[in-house]
Amino acid sequence: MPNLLFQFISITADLVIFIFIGFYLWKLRREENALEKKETKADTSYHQIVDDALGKERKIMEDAVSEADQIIVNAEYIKNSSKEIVDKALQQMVAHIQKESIETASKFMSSYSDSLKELASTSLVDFENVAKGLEGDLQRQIKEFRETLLPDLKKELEDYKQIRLKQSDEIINQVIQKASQEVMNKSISLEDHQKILTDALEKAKTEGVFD
Amino acid sequence: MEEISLSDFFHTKPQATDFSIHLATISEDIYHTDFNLEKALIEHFGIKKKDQFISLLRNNKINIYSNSELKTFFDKIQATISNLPLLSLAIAFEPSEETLKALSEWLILNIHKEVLFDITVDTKLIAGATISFNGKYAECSIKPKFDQIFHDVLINRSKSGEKSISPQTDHQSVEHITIGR
Repeated sequence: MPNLLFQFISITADLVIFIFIGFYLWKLRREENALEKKETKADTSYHQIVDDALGKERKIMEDAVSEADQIIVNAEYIKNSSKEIVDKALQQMVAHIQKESIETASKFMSSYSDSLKELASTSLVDFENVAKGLEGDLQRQIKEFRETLLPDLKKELEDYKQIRLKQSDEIINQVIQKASQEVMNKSISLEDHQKILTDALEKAKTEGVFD
Repeated sequence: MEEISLSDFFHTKPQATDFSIHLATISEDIYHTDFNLEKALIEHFGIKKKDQFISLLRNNKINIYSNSELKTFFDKIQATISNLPLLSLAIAFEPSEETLKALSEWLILNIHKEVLFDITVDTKLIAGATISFNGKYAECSIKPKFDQIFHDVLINRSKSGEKSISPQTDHQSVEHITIGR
């Protein structure tokens, strides 16, 4: 009997264990399902978020491109407009400068011409005055020259002329003398030279040179 | 001492010096064993003067084969050369050998002396000579007379020139010089 009890208890215990294990497995399965659900839900949410993000990104990119295109178009327009404005302004400036230049040049020419006329008139008068003064000074200097320096100069010139004439005469005489001597020397024949030499010895003998 | 006539061999001082040098050379060679007088004379003076020198030896009765007589005679010639009086002549032309010979003969004939000429050529003398001998000097050229005539002519020319040419003393007038237009 005790064995039966024991068996009963053992069977009961086994049953309890089996129940516990079955409950535990059921609970585990349940948690697993819950987790799978959560995972599925999370995955679905993730994909949703990614899709949303991609959609938003695409939208942002499209908006940016559209905005950029708009900016470029606006910029082109502004550029073209600005160029036209600047060109127009430049043309106006050139025309203005040209006009101003012509006016300035005309004024300058007129002023220069007037100045030249005035200067020429003044210079001519000054020159006449200077020339008159110079002529007077020169006449005075010539008068002084004739009265003071000229007589001395004449005398010095005359003395110089005489000295030079004398020097020239001396040189000419020397040249003539030398030339005459050479000519006469060459014109005497060897025989005559010897004869004159013998006469010279005779003369020396007569003068007692050989005594 | 008997006179030795050397006028055939030289007339001027440079010629005498040259002759003396050659003669001294021959005299030094006299006692050499292979000495040959005629050969030595030809070598130093040439054939013509060799003959004249042999004649000189013969005239002075020198035995040409006696070296001692030759040596003595050569010494005598050297002494004669060194004692010859010097006649300085300035002449107006380049004298030829014939001229020098004629002058030498004239001197021997007229003053009975053999001399050495010291010749200077000066064409300014025109002709004739200036002579200097034993400290005495004689101007026997045409130059003084020429100079006198030349200066006389010049003086006459300058006198006549002074009469005919009177230098202009007036100068260009400056009264009419003006400036400007």
